Amino acid sequence: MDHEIIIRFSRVTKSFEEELVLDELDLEIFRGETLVVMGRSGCGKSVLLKHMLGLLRPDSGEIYFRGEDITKFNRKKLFQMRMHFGMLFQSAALFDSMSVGENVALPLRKHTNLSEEEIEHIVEEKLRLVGLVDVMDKYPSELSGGMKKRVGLARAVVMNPEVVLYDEPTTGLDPIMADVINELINRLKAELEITSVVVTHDIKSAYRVADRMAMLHGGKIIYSATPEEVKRTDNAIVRQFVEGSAVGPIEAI
Amino acid sequence: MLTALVVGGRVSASIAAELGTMRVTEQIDAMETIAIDPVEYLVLPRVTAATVMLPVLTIFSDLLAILGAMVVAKISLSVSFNTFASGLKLLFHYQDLIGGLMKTFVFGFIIAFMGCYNGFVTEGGAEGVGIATMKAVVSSCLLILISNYVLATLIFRIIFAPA
Repeated sequence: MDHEIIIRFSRVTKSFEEELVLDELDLEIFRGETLVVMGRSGCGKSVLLKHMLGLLRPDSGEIYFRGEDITKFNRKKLFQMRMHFGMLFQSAALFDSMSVGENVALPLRKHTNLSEEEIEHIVEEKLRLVGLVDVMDKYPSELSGGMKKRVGLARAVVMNPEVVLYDEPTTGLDPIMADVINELINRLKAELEITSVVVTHDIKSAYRVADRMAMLHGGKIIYSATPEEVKRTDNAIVRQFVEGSAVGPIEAI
Repeated sequence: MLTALVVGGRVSASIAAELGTMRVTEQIDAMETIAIDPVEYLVLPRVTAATVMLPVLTIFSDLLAILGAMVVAKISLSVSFNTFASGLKLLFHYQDLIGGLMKTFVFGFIIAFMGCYNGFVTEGGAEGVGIATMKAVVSSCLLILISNYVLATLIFRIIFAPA
């Protein structure tokens, strides 16, 4: 991993109505790393991801992607930028009016001039990557939660993105399927050399995939370190979170 | 206008429910993420289709209405088809037909647009989809009634003003 910064948040603030979600947040993401952002449910992890894609705009502050401030981008430039991104949504967000194959093929059909055979070939390759080839003609409603996530993942990487964002990839899955997803995140990183940003509150999964872990609390990144350092940290908030304790500096209720 | 109200209830509800569900299950965000403009991909085709097809549907329902009236007139009032047809010719003004169809273009647009708009701004899960659907039906029906009044005035008083 080199230390080129690919995404940088600078004093990003965002509030919804009265509620302050991101409070002058600073964050740097390096090319090629897997960064896990931990935090309690509803602390703004998904909001953070949506800012990276420009799906939400900050109230103040800047977000840089490869040195360019995306908060100044118009719609067209944002769309161009998003081609470098893939995202796995919490609920997989497959288009339920399309079959699995059509879901994965959609970005290719829309943004490339590839022939149908070439598209079919790529779709098959990506579905094989996530271990699902025989579901091509099925519809999302016929799939289990884990299968949906894997299809979502295949769709996220079909354009060979530089950055893949994962919104709680293991939430709602059984422990074995959760580990399959962890494996896949690691495999995609190794095979496609992508930068990954994972937001989760699944600590076990975080340790499995992270090069670096960051803690989002009170609208700021209060801590960031390697998994080994996290295990030995004396930061009371991080300790409480990774140990899953109701007693500590974070008020549970 | 009656056709528009019936279609308004049916179509704008189904559009709002579909897009609302896509919104709350993050499918619209997903579309944005893969750099597809959801307005271009979801809204434009629906609005265009409704705007073009509602007038066609209205022609059908007008024809059926006339046919129905003919049958009823024959059976319960013993008005022969010939009498009915000559009465029809006597009272037929092409302005009525054209003016009426002009209105339905606007109604078609309103129906699809209100469905799409309410679907797009849905929030809050299944309950939110229900609320969006209701809002779509209510707002499109209200807008149809209001615009019917405005358009009728505009078309029959100004464009086809009686000499």
